[in-house]
Amino acid sequence: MVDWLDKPLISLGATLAIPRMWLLVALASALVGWLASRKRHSSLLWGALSFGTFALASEFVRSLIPNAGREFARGEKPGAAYVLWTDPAFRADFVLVVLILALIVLVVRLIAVLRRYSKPTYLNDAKETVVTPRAYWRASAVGSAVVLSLPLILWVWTALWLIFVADYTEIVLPALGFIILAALAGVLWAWLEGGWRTTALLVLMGAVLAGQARFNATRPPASMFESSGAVPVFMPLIPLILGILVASAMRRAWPQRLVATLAWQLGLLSWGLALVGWLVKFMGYYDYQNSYAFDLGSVLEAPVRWLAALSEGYYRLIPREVATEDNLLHMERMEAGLAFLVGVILWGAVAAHVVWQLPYRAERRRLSEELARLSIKRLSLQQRRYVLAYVLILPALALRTFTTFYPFLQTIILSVQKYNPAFPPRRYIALKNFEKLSTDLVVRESLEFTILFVVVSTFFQVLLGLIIAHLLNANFRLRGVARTISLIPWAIPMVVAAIGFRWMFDDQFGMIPDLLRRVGYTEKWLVNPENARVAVTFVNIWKSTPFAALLLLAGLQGISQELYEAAKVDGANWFDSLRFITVPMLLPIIVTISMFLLVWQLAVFDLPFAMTGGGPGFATTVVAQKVYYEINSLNFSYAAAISIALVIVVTVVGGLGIFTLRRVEVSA
Amino acid sequence: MTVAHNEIESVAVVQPQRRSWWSRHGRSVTTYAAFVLFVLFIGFPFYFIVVSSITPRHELFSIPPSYLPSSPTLDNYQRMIDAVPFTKYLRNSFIFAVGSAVVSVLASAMAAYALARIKFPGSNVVYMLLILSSALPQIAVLVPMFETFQQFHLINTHQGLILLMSSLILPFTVLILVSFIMQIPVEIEEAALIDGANIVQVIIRMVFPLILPALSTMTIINFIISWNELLYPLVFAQRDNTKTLSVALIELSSDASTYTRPWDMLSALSVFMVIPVLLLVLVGQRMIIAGLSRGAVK
Repeated sequence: MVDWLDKPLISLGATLAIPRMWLLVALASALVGWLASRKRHSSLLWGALSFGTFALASEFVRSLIPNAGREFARGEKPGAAYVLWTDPAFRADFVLVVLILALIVLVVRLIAVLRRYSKPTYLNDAKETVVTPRAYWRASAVGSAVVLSLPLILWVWTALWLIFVADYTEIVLPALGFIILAALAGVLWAWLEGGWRTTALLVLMGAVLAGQARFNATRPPASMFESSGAVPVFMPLIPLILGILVASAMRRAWPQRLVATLAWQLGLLSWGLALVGWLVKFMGYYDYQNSYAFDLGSVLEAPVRWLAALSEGYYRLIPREVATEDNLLHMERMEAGLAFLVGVILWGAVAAHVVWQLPYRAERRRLSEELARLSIKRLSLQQRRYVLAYVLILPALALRTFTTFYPFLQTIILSVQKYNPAFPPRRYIALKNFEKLSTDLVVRESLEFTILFVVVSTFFQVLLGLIIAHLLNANFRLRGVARTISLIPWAIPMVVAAIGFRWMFDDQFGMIPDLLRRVGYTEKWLVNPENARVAVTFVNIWKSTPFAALLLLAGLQGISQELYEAAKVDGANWFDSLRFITVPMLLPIIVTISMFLLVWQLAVFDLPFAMTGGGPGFATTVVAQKVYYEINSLNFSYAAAISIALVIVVTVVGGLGIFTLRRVEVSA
Repeated sequence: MTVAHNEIESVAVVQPQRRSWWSRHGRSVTTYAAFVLFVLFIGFPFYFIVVSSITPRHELFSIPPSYLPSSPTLDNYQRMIDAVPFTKYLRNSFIFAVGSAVVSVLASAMAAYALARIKFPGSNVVYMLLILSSALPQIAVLVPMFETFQQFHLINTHQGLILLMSSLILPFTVLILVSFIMQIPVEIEEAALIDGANIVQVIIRMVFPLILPALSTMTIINFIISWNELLYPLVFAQRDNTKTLSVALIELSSDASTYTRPWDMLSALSVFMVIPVLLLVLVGQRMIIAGLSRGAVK
């Protein structure tokens, strides 16, 4: 049962054999039982529970890390867990990730503690400050100094080294621009108020974006995301956002003299900036050969590189590339020992916590009594309702788990592997798939088209939907017919719409080009990439606009008619009531619908697939389709990586939507 | 002051007599004009699809295209039924759509009752998880799903397809059913409980009849959504015994060039695919609209 545990224990140099280990665990469990009995609980029950927990935990860990020394028969295929966990590179990275997570948790706890003590706390009525212990102040100050200064020192050092040692003066101008922009945004944020502040910052953003676009125009970018030497348009927003964040932190903390808090905030901000710099470079927006303007990226990412250098210590202990027998054994010992220690500590902590929290009982219960309590008749009504709820929810949850949650986890794992069933060894390759993805032109083009397609579609769907909703809400005899008709495009299969429109847009035999030719507009529709994109987007708008209209109609019906009458009495015309009643009242629902449309349509597959097959070239290929093609060519892990990128985009859009919705609902 | 007051009054009195034809009828004229435009916008693809399906094949490939077939014929339908194992695919489509609709509605009705009525520990988390997971693109779970299905021998089976599809539409169904159940007054159930009924009896005797309209609405909506589904049957149905009509449509149109693509058969098949959906919309439009908009307004 615990062969996984035996090995490290033996290899740790101890003479501990299996019985002794179990003896140890049994003793520890007996201790737990004794502790429980001190509080007049059944010692047998708690001892058994504790023992069972430990056995379960060890079984679980063992299932995660299978026996690495196992021989496989010819043709026998090792499972995914085996392949993954026997890969030394994966385990090295895994331990690194665990270490970093532990560090983050530690830092967060530290911040919480320090913030509690660095705040001057007041007694109830009198404005008398409770003096914070000096030791905490000192710890807080030192911690803040380290967190804050580390990235700053590294930035300054890297920049100075680049300028003076490497004689690479091209970064001076961008760095100055960066600092000035951040300072400007911060000052604007701090000095202005309300609408003025918003306006000024928006103007600044617009100016900066326009300036960058103008700069980019001097060297034509190949696509929306590709910079070919120029800086991506959105890049100057980074210093602006930084400036605003710093200013808001300063403004809140400075007047209250919360120096330590402020220092922590600024320190975390600078680490965040370092991370952004690293991400920007990693995502391939930055081109070594051509771009000088964003060499700034290599300065900004310096702290992350430094962290990476720290991890070198671990890597040096366990070389990733050469996984010899020696290394494997070395790693197994170290990691198994580590895992064992962590398991024991966790288990001990949980057991101690549980026993500590056990309430005192008036009389002691025997095991048989405890068991009798567990039968369903003894449960309270509330508890029985809970049981019923869990039973009711079980099928739905099981269905979703089997087809969504669990496969999605597997997709994530797959995305850091190299897996093609035609070329069997399934290996862990860290972020190689994503590196490949960031330079894949087809992925970029499809991402670009998907975003364009979704944004344009949603805009027109909501706009036209509003108009149609007004028609559906108007009081006229054919209203019922109109509502029925508006359901039809939603209800018919997307495939039918796509293929029907494919035929209608056909450049030779189609009706739409023919009708347009008669009015003198002779464009090729499905041959020309730009027009093909327009055509696909048009079909999507046709398909989903009436659906959006129906949803908006529900919102329109929710607006009280009295508001309009009151406005009419006050002399408002039709446009006024639209501007001041309809739109503000509908805003939450408009935002909700836009968010849903954006998120759903980002995953669109069937329309371009059935209509154009992604062509001409890759002009109308959406991301989902690209994933489908990669699956068809058996590049499973690469397909997984692309779909993870899609999920990230969906998450960002959905998050922004929820954020906007909160703002709108609060202001409404 | 009084003068101004009089002026306003006189205007208010005189205006109805001076109203022009436009100001009396303008509103309804614009409404009807908008209605006609709307019908044209929605209807024109249908016109072309239906017309293409009854146009003889040679006439389809004419320049300029014919807007009215000179000699309407049903040959296209005959040819399509001969070329595709049509009845088989039709049966598969029905099994797939009905199965998914029923399974998803059953599972989500149970879940929705638990989520709406019983505030059990973790209910919010489960609800959020269900709703958020609906934003996950289908394509993101395709590869692991395929491997799992191979393990469980579920590829090319109706059960497998129904499982996938009902899970896909489950979150949306739960969302709408929860909001529906929330609106039923809880007092009815409490009264029954006080009278000595147990909770299972309450659910079967009292709640079920009350949410029956919502259940049938969701069954219709889910049938339509499943009937229209392409990706899952395309990937997980690789033999004739499970392929659905939407897959047939894709396979028919997979010929690359315009000339060899069987537009006649495609349009005939399209008409067949639209008919059941259209019937359902005509029968249940009021219910469907109510059901769909409930999701948006909460």
